[in-house]
Amino acid sequence: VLELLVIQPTALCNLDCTYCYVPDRLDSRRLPISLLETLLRAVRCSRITEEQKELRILWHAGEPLAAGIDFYWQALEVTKRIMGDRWRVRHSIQTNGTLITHEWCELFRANGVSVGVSLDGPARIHDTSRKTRDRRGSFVRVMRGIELLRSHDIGISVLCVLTSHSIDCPDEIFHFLVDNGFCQVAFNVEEIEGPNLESSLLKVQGGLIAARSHYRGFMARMAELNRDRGWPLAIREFVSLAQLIQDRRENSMHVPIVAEQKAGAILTMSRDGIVYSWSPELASGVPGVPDRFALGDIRDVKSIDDLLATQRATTIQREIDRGVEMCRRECDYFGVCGGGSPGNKFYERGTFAATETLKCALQTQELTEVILTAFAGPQAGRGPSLSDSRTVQPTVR
Amino acid sequence: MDSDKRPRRRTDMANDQITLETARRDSLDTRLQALGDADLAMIRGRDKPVATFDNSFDNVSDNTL
Repeated sequence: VLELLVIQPTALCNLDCTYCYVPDRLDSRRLPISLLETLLRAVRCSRITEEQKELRILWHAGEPLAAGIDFYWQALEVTKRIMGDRWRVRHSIQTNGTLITHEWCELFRANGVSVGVSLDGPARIHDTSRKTRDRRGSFVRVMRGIELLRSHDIGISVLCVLTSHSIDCPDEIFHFLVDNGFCQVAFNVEEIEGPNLESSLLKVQGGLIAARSHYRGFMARMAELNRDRGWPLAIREFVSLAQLIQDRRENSMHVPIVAEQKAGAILTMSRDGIVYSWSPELASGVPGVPDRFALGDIRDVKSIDDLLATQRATTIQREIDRGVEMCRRECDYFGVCGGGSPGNKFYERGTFAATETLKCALQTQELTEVILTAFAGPQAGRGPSLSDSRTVQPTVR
Repeated sequence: MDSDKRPRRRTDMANDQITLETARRDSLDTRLQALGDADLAMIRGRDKPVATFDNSFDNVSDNTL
């Protein structure tokens, strides 16, 4: 099953965030509509989608709005024409929010596009990393875009990247989000991906051990604040992991299925028609080799099945499977993780056949410990402080 | 041959590995079972109409895609 189709209509971005992993962000080339048509036809006639009735399309990049509003009116129309008879297509866009106008809001409303906005917290924190090309903060423009979305009754979810500048500020970030009426947030950690070769979280004294401690402190405090206020925020990391924990509690053999590990479950197409699978970040390639993980050009095939049958696809899948098997054997948290993200493994370890990454250490291991510490036992969730919990030591090397 | 002195075969080592994995998994599972149901449900947002998130691609904030 194709769970997610990621389309990068342009790599262009009007911002220059410190931690971005997308290369060529000054390249203004845009995906031709004809290539979008070719992609959708190749998806339609694929064996992996023959049972499918629903398709999720995520417009991502770069700054997806930089492709221009006319592009999207055409693209959404083309999608409806090619897929509409058999598929329910749900569109989503992940934007930096700075280019939103009333016209964009009308497009989102008319097509039921779900909108995620990247916002790292209050201005003091957000503007440290999310800068314009002339090195000024983007906070004011993002908030203006959010106000426009709200004026059109468009729900917003926030994507917040945690860096060394923000991870010690849970109170400030929590109050900012709640006081400004946000109710859904996802906290990513700054990851090592594509051209972003370092994470500020690891550059602090103490390296990974310190990063674990800081992350744990942040999420424990978030849980504490959220609990004390009656859970006004749906925090993706808690919601997702709590569901995985519940699945595991109900069936001790349950192992999460991770779409990023399955060839064809997630497909990403760049503006020039090159198709990738597994973790969408792999479309960034590696420095100097942008097509390192490319499966092929959509113009050269009839169906996406042809791309998934290539030698490169088979080789990558085999290596990913080896990595997952290593996780299964070595990691105590496999039952609530399922083997992690291949993209993170490659960018941190140079191979898919690897185990622990920064994301595993923080978003799986430490977060599990936060939940276990906070909510296990008869006094669970009612103690005075969740944020004093100790950092779990690494279990996988 | 005394079984204690018998050279260890590959199958023995494989069994040891399975035992080790089971012990680790049981350890985590035991701890998970100690979680409070109500608290876990609250974290999952079952009591109110919040979005469900999808962690299949983490550079997305919302899975109502």
